[in-house]
Amino acid sequence: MDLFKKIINVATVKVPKAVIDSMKQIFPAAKNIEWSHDRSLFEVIFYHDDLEKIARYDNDGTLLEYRVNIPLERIPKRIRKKASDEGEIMNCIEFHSVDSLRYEFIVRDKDLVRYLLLTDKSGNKIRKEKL
Amino acid sequence: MAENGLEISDEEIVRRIRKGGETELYSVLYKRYYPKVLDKCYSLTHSRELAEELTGDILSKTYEKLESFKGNATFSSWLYSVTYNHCIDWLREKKKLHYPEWNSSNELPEIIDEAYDEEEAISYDKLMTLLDRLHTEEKALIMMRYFDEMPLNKIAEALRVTESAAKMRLKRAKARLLFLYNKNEN
Repeated sequence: MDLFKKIINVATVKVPKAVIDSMKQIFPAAKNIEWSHDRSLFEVIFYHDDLEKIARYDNDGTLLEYRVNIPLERIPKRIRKKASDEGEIMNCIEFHSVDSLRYEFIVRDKDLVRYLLLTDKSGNKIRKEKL
Repeated sequence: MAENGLEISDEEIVRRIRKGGETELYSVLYKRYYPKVLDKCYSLTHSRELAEELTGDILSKTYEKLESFKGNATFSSWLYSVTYNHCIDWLREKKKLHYPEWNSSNELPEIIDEAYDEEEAISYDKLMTLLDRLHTEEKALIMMRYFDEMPLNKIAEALRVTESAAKMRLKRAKARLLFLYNKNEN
């Protein structure tokens, strides 16, 4: 078994044309596209503007939500400040759903204990839980 | 019954230790998994001495945590999850392993948008050499997913990240691996 091939090559998933068309329309410059199918949803992970993104579609091609991996230096300043009050930021994902924008942070305290920190679009804490 | 335990499945051994108190059977699991755990620890630390120390810790910790083994996964995948978690936590604490800092100073110069379709397989040694050029957390992600075939939620738990973060870091690790391979070959 060629392990390298197994790592690099993506699994083949049959994706409806409506879903592919919808994805191409919203993320026209997407690269390195990898589809998966789970519980009647299609999920795609890809690069767009050099950032990792994950988008979820229903069978008809309706975009349900998408997530963007935000480099720490690109987090809006006021959001970053509020999240930093909860611990050192180790990861930030911008989470767009139909009607809201939220941020999903991983922060850690001085003892290196890591937490999931969920905030609203202004950086206000919604939930914090130990990972 | 095979008195030396060699013919008993992992899960049966765990069941008998938990229900029947046959604690001596743990030595069977210990012998069965010591080389595999050691190999993973060595892959992540590159120190034989440290890998041996961590392996001892992991197998003791696993014994102490046997009560929390739910049995909805195999014993081996549970043990490997504890192994990666323990090694990464150790490296984060003692070696100041810091993925965000490393990642921002090692930005990917190019995202390659193509599949790998070479006829000839890459040797295991060459693959390990390439993996050693990734950050240890990226290497661990690839090992968990493709060597040990762990599900993403378990990988996320082991690394103490969210599932979305695990998916995205894995994506980056694969993109970096392909970039390094191409750079090496051209």
